[in-house]
Amino acid sequence: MSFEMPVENWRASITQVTIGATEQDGGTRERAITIGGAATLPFLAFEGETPRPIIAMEVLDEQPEGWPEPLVEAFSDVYGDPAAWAQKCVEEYGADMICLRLVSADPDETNASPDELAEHVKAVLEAVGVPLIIWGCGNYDKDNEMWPIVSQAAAGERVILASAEEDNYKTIAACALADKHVVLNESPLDINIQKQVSILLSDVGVKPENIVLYEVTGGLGYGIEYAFSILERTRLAGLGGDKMLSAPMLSVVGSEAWKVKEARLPEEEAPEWGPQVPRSILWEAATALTFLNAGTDILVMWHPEAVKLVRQATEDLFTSGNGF
Amino acid sequence: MSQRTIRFEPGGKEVSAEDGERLLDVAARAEIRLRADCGGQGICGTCRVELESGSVQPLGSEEEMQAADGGVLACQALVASDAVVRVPELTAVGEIPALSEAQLPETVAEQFLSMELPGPLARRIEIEVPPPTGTDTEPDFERLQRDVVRACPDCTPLTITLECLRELPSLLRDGDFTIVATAGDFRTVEHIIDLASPPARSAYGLAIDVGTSTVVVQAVNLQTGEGRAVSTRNAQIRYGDDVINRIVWSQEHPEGLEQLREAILDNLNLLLGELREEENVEAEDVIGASIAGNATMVNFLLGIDARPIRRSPHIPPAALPPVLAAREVGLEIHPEAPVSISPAVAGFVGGDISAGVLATGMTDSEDISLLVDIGTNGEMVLGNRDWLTCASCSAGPAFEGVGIECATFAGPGAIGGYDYDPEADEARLSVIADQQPLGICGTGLVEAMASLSRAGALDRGGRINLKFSSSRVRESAAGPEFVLVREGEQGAPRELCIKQTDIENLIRSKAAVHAGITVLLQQIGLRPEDVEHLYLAGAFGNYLNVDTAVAIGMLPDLPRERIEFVGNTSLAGAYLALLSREARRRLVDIAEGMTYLELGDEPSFTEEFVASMFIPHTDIARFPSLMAKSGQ
Amino acid sequence: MPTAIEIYQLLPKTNCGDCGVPTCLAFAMKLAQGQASLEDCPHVTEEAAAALSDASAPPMATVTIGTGDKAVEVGGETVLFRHDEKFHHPCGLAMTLDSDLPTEELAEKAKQLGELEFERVGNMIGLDLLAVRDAGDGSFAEAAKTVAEAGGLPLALLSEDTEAMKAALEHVGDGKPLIYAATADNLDDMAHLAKQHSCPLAVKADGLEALAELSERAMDAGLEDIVLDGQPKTMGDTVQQQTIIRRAALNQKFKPLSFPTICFTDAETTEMKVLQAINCIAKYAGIVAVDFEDPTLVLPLVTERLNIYTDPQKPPQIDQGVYEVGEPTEESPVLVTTNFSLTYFLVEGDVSATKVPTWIVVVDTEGTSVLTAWANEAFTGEIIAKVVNECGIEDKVSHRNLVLPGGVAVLSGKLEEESGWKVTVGPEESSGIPSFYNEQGFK
Repeated sequence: MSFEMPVENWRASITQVTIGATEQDGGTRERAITIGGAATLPFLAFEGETPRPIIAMEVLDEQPEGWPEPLVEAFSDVYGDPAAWAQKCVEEYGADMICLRLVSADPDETNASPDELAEHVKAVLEAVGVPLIIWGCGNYDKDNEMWPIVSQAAAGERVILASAEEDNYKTIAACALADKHVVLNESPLDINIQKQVSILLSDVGVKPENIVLYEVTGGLGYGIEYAFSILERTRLAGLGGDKMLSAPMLSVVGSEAWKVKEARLPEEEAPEWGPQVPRSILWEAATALTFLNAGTDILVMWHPEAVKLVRQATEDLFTSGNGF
Repeated sequence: MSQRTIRFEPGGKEVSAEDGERLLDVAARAEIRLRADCGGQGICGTCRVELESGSVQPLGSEEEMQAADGGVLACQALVASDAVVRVPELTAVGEIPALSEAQLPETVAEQFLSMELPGPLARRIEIEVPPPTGTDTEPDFERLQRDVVRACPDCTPLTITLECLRELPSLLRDGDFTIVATAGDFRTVEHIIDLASPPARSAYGLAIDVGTSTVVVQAVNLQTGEGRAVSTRNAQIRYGDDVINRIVWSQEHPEGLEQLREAILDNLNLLLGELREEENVEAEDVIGASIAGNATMVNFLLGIDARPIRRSPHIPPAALPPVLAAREVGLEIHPEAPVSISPAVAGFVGGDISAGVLATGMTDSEDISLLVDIGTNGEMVLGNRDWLTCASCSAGPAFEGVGIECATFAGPGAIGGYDYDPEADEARLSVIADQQPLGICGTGLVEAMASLSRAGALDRGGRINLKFSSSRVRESAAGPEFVLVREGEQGAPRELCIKQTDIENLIRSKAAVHAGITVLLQQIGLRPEDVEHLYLAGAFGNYLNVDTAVAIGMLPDLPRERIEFVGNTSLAGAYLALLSREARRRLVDIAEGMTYLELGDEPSFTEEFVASMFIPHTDIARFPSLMAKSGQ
Repeated sequence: MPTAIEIYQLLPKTNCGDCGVPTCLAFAMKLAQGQASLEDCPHVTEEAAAALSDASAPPMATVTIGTGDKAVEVGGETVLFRHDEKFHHPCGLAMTLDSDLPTEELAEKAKQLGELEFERVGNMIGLDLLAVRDAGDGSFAEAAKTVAEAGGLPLALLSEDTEAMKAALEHVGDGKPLIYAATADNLDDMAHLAKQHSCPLAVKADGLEALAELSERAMDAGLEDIVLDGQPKTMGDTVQQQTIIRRAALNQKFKPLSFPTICFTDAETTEMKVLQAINCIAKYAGIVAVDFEDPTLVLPLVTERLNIYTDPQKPPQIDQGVYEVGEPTEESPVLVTTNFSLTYFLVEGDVSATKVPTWIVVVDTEGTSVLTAWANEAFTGEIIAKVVNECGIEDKVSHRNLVLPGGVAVLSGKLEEESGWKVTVGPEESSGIPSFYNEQGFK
């Protein structure tokens, strides 16, 4: 019996999306990053193009509450200063992108005004040269009030505006069109809704090369299997030629992984799980690696050590040893 | 409690009532039928009456009782004094066409009805019995039996009620041994239920369809097979929109089951009364009833606790109840008349579906057929001569207009066709019986949804586009809405407006149907294009446009000539079973041989459902004809 | 696998019901879904049986390691992606111990590892195998014996020395350990040992072509329980090899690679070893053997495995009981919902967005959502009251206020009556929770 390589012929490759615009393209980023382009499943170099994943580090525009100690240690010196926080991520930890979360927009909490939020965005844009993801607070009314101003503040920078949902996509889509940004299509762990949002976005004029997909995820031990399968299915659909699911995918890793008890609890509270470091950091890195295996293109991460580990793993994943 | 007298005008009919009784119920008791399209839930406003004198108390709030233009809603008004109530013309129920009467494919009609002795459920025959002689000394009953059996060699054994036996000797002798016998087929035995002197009066039977939202009664002349049908809203709606809510009602109220039974019996007897009056028929001459209905409705009609249907694994308390006497059931026809009930397959696939399969003739062919019956539940049956499989999904009552404010029953004044022209900002309506538009029926709702989606007033998820350039779109406290018909537009007495939640309900309904079809096909291992005949039965009658049904993504995108509207197949099957013994037998075979698929146990159903919650569908590739049209 | 209708055509079509389902079509549908076995039909013809069993033959061998309760089954997979059906046999997790450790220490470690258990959503999970690595100093057989006795788990014996293996098998061969490994050089001897002791045999070679050849030789030697190791050098190699092997087995029915695999971790740091193992679990490994010191780091691995091997066709459920969002106090609000995971996750997500610490009482409704459970009579006033009264929430809060999902507002009367709690009707959709919390003034 002779062995033949079981090569799949995929019908399409994943759409390429460029995040960030340099001066040449009307922005101020030091470099733009193009994601997507996968022509096969992750890491199957024998079969086709497999682009390297991008790591975005998350920056909050105000001091986070209730963060576990390992994260506090990493970031407490830059709390409340998103520009400094972003700078630290890029300069010290080598973040490819910054994911700025405008948590201070939350109308039930700080309720920062659209203009204040726009200032946060501008400050971060000035502080770092990498491309940005800008995330609203999740309150539809507030986000829709804020987007026109915040998006305008980053006009031309090709940031990812996050996020458009099935019941709230029109304002953010209009802002992205007006200010030349990319839209994050968010759906609640449902491949059909994900596709529906893509169709709705394209119906209002957002082009495929300006859409990134995001399935609400879950951390390791907390629903990661749903996300894993949905990401796999989405990627298979995209490679199978479904235009509405062929966009690159983003996974939120940090906040999901650190929500899980196994990452959050210190050793005193769970001695049977051993020391919180490296446990919690491994939890985040393992969550990231699982998503990478399902096809994620952008990871949004928290802990610098987890970022380092994932980089190291990625390096190994793109290295050929004896092959096959 | 005080006894009050309520007089209804015009007509001056008086009826006594107690304080606290609903006007709607008082009117029903007076045999004055008011429209109450929502079933008396205070939603639709169609039971508006005017109070000429006296006073009423609101059932809920004063506001809820008041009708838009003066007057009160009879379903929300409680008797508080003697009163004179005027029923406006629009409120009185006039001619309500039966929801698409039976239309049998010729082959099916021929198969069951053209034979010499089709074997109706009940028959009335004039028999000349040879008088006894010295050599022929057979006793009276056996003598009669011999002759009746001779008239029908393959009939079941014949027996007789005691009352008839008592009358037999004198009737035979008074009539020179010619006698009119009425016999009813009780499946295992035939009963002589009535004896009379000649001449034989015409005998009638009933075909009845008991649906969750709609009840249809058809009176059939058993000699000619001709019939006339009338229909009404199922009065049980006041206890719940769908079967689950009604089962819950029956469980949570000590009198609940009896209330449900009475509601449906009142419905049937009222319709029956109307038919008898029109056709001038005595109750004694209605000698059989053939009933098809979903399992819950049938069990409620019989006063049987339906809770096994609610609980997994959702079995009916009885799939094939015995043939009962009308007096046991409470039907106001000949008390001993046989009442035959079409057998159920499962808790959510009732005898209405067995009847539907029978009526379409799908079991006669090798071709693969799909019967889709859309009511408050959507049922689908897939199969051919060799095999049958079925499933049920909860479509919700939206297609029947229940729970939607601008909706109405498919009667005169109902908008059955709707097309919105965005250029002219005009709605084109077709109204049943060409009257002024009072409301929109299920067909109209589906057409409206398709039309608004085409016009861009809805996005593909069915959300009303607030930026749509027409003043018809507006935002109310309850969310966005679209004015389908402006007040005065084409003579409309009031504005008709569809809300975002109404559209969501409609989309859910069509998605459930499409997902049910898809999963049923998948489980068998067939593709939609393997279906050679798609029969659409139920709520939409024959009004719905096939293209519209496909355009909203309710039905699979088959070549249009394969899709056929077949009307009320439940009634058609009940009609066949009324007239043909073979049909009654075949119904049992159909129900027993059908494989039920529980969609709730199929993980793919939820997924297909979500995928179908889009216009027409998330996977547009499944609708090639629509893709071709939109140039995608 | 043929479709239901194709199977139906081969059945007797008598609807006799002897198979336990009412119709032949229903039986065909069960067969097509792998929920019934053809043997259940006493009337099936031989031709039909032949046609069907051929089509349903498993594409990948299932290999059993060990005996008794603790035996581990690996392989037997039928799909490339878990959403296509499910993964059948969770990969075996092994911890490696070197044979040259002092006997006492070895026994102590083996005992500790054998007892290692973590609780996850009601499942106790731990290691499945202990691997003993031959240090080449003659300690192997004795060490194997020690580990087998102290650990109580099935073994993998890691040695290419056929003599050492032979000696070890004399001690522990009855326990059906995995023999690792046969190479091109020692295959004949190893195969002989495997046959003699009825043990599964791992074959290892550098690269898949060499591996396939070796596997074929083992098959020719009459072995059926084979485990594959293509010796990947990087994580990239691992993913590619594992994928190719799975595809070869399932899509090409290429027999020599139709077996489960075994992978090892060899990174320099413990952290990277954990990630290597995660990578193997996510991508098709049959057995993963790790060799780091800290046993608590097995936790992410058993969790990953539990998640990846969850049956995606079963309605995902969580256990009945009281759950905490944030750090609730005796003043915190109490919500009630069903145990359908997706329902719970939605509620939990929307609650945590409010940042108000909350108790959630979860009622077992067999993994159905609130409305379905209500329709099926699995979420009634009586049932909820019983759970509320028995789950212990009464001791955790000082108030008696319960928030009921808005979709089942009709239950509130009955629930109040049965439970003695005051019931507030919450929003119909969980997305309404933040504004509901605001209205209620929950903090």
